[in-house]
Amino acid sequence: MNLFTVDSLRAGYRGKEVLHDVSITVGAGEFAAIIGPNGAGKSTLLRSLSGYIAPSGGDITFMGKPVASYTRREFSRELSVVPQFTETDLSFSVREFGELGLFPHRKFFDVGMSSGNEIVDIALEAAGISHLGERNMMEISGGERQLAYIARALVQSSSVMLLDEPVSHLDISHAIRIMDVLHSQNRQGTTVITVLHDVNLAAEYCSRIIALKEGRVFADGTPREVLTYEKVEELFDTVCIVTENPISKRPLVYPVPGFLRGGG
Amino acid sequence: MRIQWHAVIAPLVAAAALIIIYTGDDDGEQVCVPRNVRRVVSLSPSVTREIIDLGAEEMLAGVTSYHPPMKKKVPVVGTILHPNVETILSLGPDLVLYSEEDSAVQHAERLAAAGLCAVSLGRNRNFEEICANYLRIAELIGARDAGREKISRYRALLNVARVTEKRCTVAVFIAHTPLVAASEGSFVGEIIADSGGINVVKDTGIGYPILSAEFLIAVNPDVILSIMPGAAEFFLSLSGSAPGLRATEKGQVYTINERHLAYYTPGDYIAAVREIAALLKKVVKQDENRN
Amino acid sequence: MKTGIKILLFTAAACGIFVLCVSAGSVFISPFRIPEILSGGAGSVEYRILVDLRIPRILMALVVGASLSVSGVVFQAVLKNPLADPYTTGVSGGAAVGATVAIAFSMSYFLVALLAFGGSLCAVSFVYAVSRYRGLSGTALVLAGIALSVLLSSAVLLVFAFSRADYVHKALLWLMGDLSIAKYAVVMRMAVVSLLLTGLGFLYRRHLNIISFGDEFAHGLGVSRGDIVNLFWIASLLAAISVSLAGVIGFVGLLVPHVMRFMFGPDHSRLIPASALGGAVFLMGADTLGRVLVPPYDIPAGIITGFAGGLFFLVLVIRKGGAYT
Repeated sequence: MNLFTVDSLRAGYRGKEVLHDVSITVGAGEFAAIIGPNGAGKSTLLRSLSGYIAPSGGDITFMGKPVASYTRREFSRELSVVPQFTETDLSFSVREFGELGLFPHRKFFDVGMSSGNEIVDIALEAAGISHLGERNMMEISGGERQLAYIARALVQSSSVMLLDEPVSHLDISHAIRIMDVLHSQNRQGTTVITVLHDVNLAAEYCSRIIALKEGRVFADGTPREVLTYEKVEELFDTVCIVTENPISKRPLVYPVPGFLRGGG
Repeated sequence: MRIQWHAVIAPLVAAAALIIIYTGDDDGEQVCVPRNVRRVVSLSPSVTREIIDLGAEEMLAGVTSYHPPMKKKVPVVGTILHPNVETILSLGPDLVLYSEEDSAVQHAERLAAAGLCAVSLGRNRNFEEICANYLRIAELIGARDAGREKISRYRALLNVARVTEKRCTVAVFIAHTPLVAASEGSFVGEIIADSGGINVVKDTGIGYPILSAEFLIAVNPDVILSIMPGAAEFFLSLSGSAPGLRATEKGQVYTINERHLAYYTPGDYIAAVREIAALLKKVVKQDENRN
Repeated sequence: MKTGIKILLFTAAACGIFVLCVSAGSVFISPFRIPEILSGGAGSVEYRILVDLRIPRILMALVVGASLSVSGVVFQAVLKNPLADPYTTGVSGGAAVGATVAIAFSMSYFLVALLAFGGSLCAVSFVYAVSRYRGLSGTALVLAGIALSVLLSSAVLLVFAFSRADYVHKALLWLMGDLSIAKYAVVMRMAVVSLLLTGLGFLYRRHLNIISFGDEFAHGLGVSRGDIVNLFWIASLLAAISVSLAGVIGFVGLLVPHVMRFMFGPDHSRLIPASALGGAVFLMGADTLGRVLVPPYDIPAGIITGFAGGLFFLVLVIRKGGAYT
């Protein structure tokens, strides 16, 4: 059954339409990456899926119902979102931050949730940061903080996760760690839809790549289908070589620096 | 739409809250009749002055920070606008007097709530009202006869000092920057009228309006009076080159003594009238000599 | 230091300061004599000073201080700015215009408060409407509030220009904050309303934690626009009621939450009650200081809190280079 059905979506921000005609479907259990050049509308698409932006045309349905018809609370119980930016000048402990994920599951007047503790434990474990539970969010490294964000999202919903550029500002080791966590969750049944800048990470980890260009779907399919050198060159408007990762057999994209193109 | 509903209901709830907080709060006017008054706290400098004038200075147990010269040092209970109710209470007065003219009424209400006998005196818009208040004070402190005698004497003095024929046009200023004048209907305006002056600043509802220099040049009074020092130089520089002010050209700009204008008492009123009437008489005489 | 011990020490200090404040004034009444004075009956001057003057005033300081602090806590979360003050949304500007007009027309104290409150609400509604147009973001709220404050200050000065000098003086005193006209009936009712609003705010404590991390983050966790609107109004009402009854007393809503956040952490389930208590004690102390520094003159509480707040932030900048705690 399709989790998300997007039909002729038009969406944008005040005064500017960013997505012009997007139609995709995402099924349960997929690990999908949204890629594309800057300004293509990747974040806009993710925000439309999460309901943060209302569509100006077309429909988005989640589990058969239009996204707009869910109440905020209901919707937040089904899926969790890790936005691109989170304000971080608050000195919560990693564990307290993770507990925020329990919010949509609580009743309004309730005092506490004892079973919540276990869920938080499991999430911290899955993100590999159980040892950081009592540390302060402001004191840990950027990579560890990102893992904390993901742990929180896992606490909130381990069935569907939407992420906007979760690794773009991290070093390779932390980037891999995070993608590994997402991958292992996906193996356990979590549907993951993530915006990614790095097409190679998308190629390695995802079962599905949605490429956007100028507010429209440019290509949609498996990494091998989408990441051919013609498509990548046209998508990013740059010369590149596409080979194969010898270990995983997934496509591997090399951009060609200008000075090597020799006057081309 | 949910959001708009909030924006309408919330203010209504809020207003209701405030009204609930505030109504049913007036504890009613209590009129106290003081007997055997021996200690009086005065929250108005004018009232203090009148009590001294009635020969009852020893009765004063507390005064405001701005007060007329007194023989003995009397405890200060605060400023005119903010008297310290605790201090007043601890002085144990039989009577507290305050004036609607210059005292903070809500603090006086606290006095009444704390069990003191606090009496308010009305506005002093003209000589009659000053006299009425004077008599009231006299009655309250048990000096009714002295008060009546003084008032009849003051009335006689005013009749002598008062000038009925209008002599010349006047503008009176109580501030220079900005130019604040006393209009016809104001207290100072009354003094001017009694001194024989025609006030060029007519009564428009605002007692002490801010004027523009243009307006002053347009009305061009014979005499300019001001309570600020250095009036002559100021208005000379104001009128500048052309067209000049008649008053500055003829040197009829005077600084008047503000000492009497600061107090709303019969004695001060008459002294002010005398001073200004004499000034205007001199002006008229100088004019006649010139012509 | 464990939180439990901190809370105990804090409450003990608060009680101590309370006793000190009741004793202090233009007439010092030793705390040990207070029980006998109170039981002695309404005859003595000291009884009347305590019961009719000091205690209602202190109670008012407690209620207003707590209200302003809680308002500050909520605004700081909604505006995502630990330096936000309850007055940034036009609350004080609107109240100032309302009160100044009422004073210039020589209206009774009740009407002054009512017009101040009305002015407050109008200003807040305007700021709300303008920022809603821009999606209710923190920045929009702050900018609209600042713009309106400037407009309203000019309006106040305009009223001054046409008023009698003593009315201007009266209005200025009102603007500096005045707790001396406290009456039991008013204070008690205000306490009830403030308690209700604070209680509502406390129910939203988890929302407040979440909102602080960002709009999109909060939306993703299920905090709706309606929740933010409610919180905005709770905070605005708390501030508006305080301002209309006690004048503009600044920095309580800014300084106290800051200090409490430093002492008890950012979790609103602790921050809200701590700020309420802290604000109450702070304003009570400031008001008492105003009463005892230069007797018989009463320094308005707003001036004391202004100085305290300014000094505090100066020290903060020097020691931390401007970073929040």
